Amino acid sequence: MTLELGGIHHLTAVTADAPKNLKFYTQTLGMRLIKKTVNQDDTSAYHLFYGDGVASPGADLTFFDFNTMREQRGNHTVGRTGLRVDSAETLQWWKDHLQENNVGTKLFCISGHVNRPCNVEEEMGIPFRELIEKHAGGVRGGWDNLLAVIPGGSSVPCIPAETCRDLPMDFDSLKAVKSGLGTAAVIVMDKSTDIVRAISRISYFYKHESCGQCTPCREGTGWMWRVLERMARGQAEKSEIDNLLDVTYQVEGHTICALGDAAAWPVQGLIRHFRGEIERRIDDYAASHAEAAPVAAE
Amino acid sequence: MPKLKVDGKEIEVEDGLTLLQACELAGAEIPRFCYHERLSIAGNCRMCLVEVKGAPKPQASCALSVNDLRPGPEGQPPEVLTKSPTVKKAREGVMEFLLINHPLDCPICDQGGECDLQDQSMAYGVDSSRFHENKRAVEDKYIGPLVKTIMTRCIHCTRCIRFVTEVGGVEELGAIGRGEDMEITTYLERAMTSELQGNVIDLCPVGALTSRPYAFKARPWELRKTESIDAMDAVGSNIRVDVRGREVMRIMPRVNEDVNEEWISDKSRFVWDGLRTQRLDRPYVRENGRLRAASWQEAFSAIAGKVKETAPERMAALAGDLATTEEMFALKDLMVRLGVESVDCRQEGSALGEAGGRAGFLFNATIAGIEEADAVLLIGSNPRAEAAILNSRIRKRWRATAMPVGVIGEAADLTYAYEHLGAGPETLDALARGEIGFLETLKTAQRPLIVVGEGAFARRDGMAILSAAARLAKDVGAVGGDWNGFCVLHTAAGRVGGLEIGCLPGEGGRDTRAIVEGAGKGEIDVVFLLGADEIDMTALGQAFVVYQGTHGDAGAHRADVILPGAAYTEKSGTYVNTEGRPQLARRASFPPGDAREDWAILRALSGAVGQTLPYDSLDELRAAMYEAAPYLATLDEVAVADPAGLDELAGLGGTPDKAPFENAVTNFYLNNPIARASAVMAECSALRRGGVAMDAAE
Repeated sequence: MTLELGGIHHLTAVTADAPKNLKFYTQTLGMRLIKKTVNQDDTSAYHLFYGDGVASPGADLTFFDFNTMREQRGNHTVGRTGLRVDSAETLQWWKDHLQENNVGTKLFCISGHVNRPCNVEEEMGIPFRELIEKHAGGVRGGWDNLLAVIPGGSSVPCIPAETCRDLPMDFDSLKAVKSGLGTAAVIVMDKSTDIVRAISRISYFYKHESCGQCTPCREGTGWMWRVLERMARGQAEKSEIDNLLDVTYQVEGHTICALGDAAAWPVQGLIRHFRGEIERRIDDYAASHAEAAPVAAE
Repeated sequence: MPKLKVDGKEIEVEDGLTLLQACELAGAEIPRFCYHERLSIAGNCRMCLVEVKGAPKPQASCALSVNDLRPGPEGQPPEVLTKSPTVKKAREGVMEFLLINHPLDCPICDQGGECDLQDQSMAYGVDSSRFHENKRAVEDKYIGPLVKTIMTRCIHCTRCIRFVTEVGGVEELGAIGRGEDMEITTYLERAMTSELQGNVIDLCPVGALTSRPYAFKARPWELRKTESIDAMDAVGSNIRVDVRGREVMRIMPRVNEDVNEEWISDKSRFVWDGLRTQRLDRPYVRENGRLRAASWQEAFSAIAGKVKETAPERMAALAGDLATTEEMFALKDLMVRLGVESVDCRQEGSALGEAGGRAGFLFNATIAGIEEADAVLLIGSNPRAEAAILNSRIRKRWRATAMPVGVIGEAADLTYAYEHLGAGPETLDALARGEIGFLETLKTAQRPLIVVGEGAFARRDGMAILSAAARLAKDVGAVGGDWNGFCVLHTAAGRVGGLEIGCLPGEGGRDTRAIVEGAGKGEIDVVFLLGADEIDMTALGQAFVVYQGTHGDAGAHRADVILPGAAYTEKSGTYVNTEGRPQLARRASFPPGDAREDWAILRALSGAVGQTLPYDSLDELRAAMYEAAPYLATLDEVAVADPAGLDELAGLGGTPDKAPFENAVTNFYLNNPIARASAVMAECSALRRGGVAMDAAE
């Protein structure tokens, strides 16, 4: 007698969090919980069956709930389960759908003024403070020493400490505070940071990276950097702050690639949250240079 | 055919148009710096931004295809706004960026008055500057003797790079550095080697690339502009001659899609300094071996005396490369009245026009027709030197379709890849017999082009070669239906006109070669040269030479009597280009001193020799000419030649010599008397031959 395999009926994996597992498979993926039973060898564990609308054999995915460690990539376990869709359009739909729901994990790169800078894969939506304290050993000098965070790589606007604490690190939440999750390269800055100087340095980076092909970026990045350099010293007029902001909007959205946007956003973030700091420097500089410096004729 | 709505106006446009073109069709004006309809799209200046409803950002209209626009939710045509506040703001922003590092040196800039940046800043510029930093300064680059650079003015549109690479076919211009440090250069600051490089001056939207010879010479608004025809080659490029007072200050191209598109060669553009130097501005008569300034009366009576004592069969006349059709008609007419049969306009020494009818001496496929060809065979021709503009058409087609090109003759750099089949008539013969694979290429081609150059047809065995080429053309199916791919490529502006009106030897008359040989042997006593400078003057023996022309070149040096004529910018005349397209060159300025328009000189001379020509005005002369060659009256149009003539030509047969073909134009810059008088052309020529060390950047 030979055994004929007509196909695979179901695939079983392990979950450490049954309620979350149920929520994800039924609400996000839209599968149906077609059966809820227990593991036959360990009746303390659930066995959850998810399937399509009519519970077709082969469409089933089942889970035991065991309170285990998170699976680590690269240690010879099955790391991924793929679900097939019928077309490229459907695939795109799922991509959009999952992104909208901020589902999945994200590789965070935590650098700057934290005790233990690291790269870590974490669940999207983890609150900022939890992320920092769980993986990076907390902010240098304690949470209260935090000044600002650039949450998504150097191109996104910074956000001040008071906004960060419970901020879920996902696309929508960061968008709501006018920043972005971007690449999730989190740059943490404590109160020892000269924030104007820091953004000016980022501005220099974008000026240096600009390829020079299209006008707004080629001309705008250098302009923004030079103004910021002066502002970092306080050697500017207060009216220039709004001019600078205007220039960032003139660059943003008008270039061929996104480097123009990337150069504009950090400056926008700086002015949005630290205008007072810039103005203070301008006042200080003006006070210490009371004698008007002679200006050459244009 | 996509539909769209531009500023509320609904239009339907062709597939594949850019949004910018569609907006223009709808009547909206779109500012641009980098976009140029004959170059690839760069999309880098960002001046042409428009608002597309539904798109989150303003879109560069030059880089967006109308086919990529999405219809509205209920299938409404996509809506484009070109005048909205968003658009205006975006363009003002771009303009501000362009101006922050642009020097405000308009008062000393040669582009002033015809500068795109100047014009568009009137619409999108603001009245003051918010830029308080130092402006960028860029070192000027040496890119050749023709194009002057003031690189601080450069706005990095890359039109020049794209032109030189795509149309010019030499990858010599590029950008180094990046960001605001990007600079346009020839890398090692060598001179560009394109014959079309002057066009980058027109393409440059600012004053970064300007004409070096014209530098600081004039302002555009003080120039009188005359639309005319170029005479530097047989293409008949449409030009505009800009004159101040009596002097030609510069020459610019005009658009003619059928001929030169909107380019002209460097010789056409920069030859104007040759119009001022070495000019013959009064008649001369040779006395005791020396030329002495004389009056018209003296010159005419010297000629008349000689003509009266000479039998007609001992006289001859030759017309040169720059002669207009009118004056050749008058010359032939005068000679006929004098009984002189030895008249020729084929200075190169060919026998064109003696068989094959018009189809036997025209570029039958037409220049625009090159863009329909799918295989090309060049026989004894280097179109890059002989007709640079025509060569750029071949390159254009080659770039678009990777059209196969075969060459029999010298293996020169033509700016496109070709298969070098061999050097001489034997290769042509082998090809015709099918011993060379290229025959198959020609046969499978729907519209093959067989181009015969002066290097092939101007030889003593030229007619045998031409006949072989015609046979080949018929064999491979190049002639038939609505396609005639048999093409003769001329090098002289005046040649086809002369052939059209029959400025050729009469019954028993001698042709060019025989005239020169006859004069050398003492069989010809009087030779009349109408601007003919390219023959071997030392071979004319003891003959009495009358030279009517413009420059103190070979002919004038040999002459016994000099009659000063008018250059192509100083007279009205018809030039028939290599396709057989008659075009009217108009007078832009006046000939210098006592020099006169050539037809009028011939008319006056006819009176002096007692055979007065029956026309008192140029109009009357033209009327007589149109009667003789009616298609010349239809200006700017090509009268299609009857392909049946090619049967006769093909049947001519003959055994060609074995010598390899030698290209007719050995020096692009110096192949006519005006060019030889031009210091600019001399510099270009020396540079090309490696005779001059590279100029340092200023």
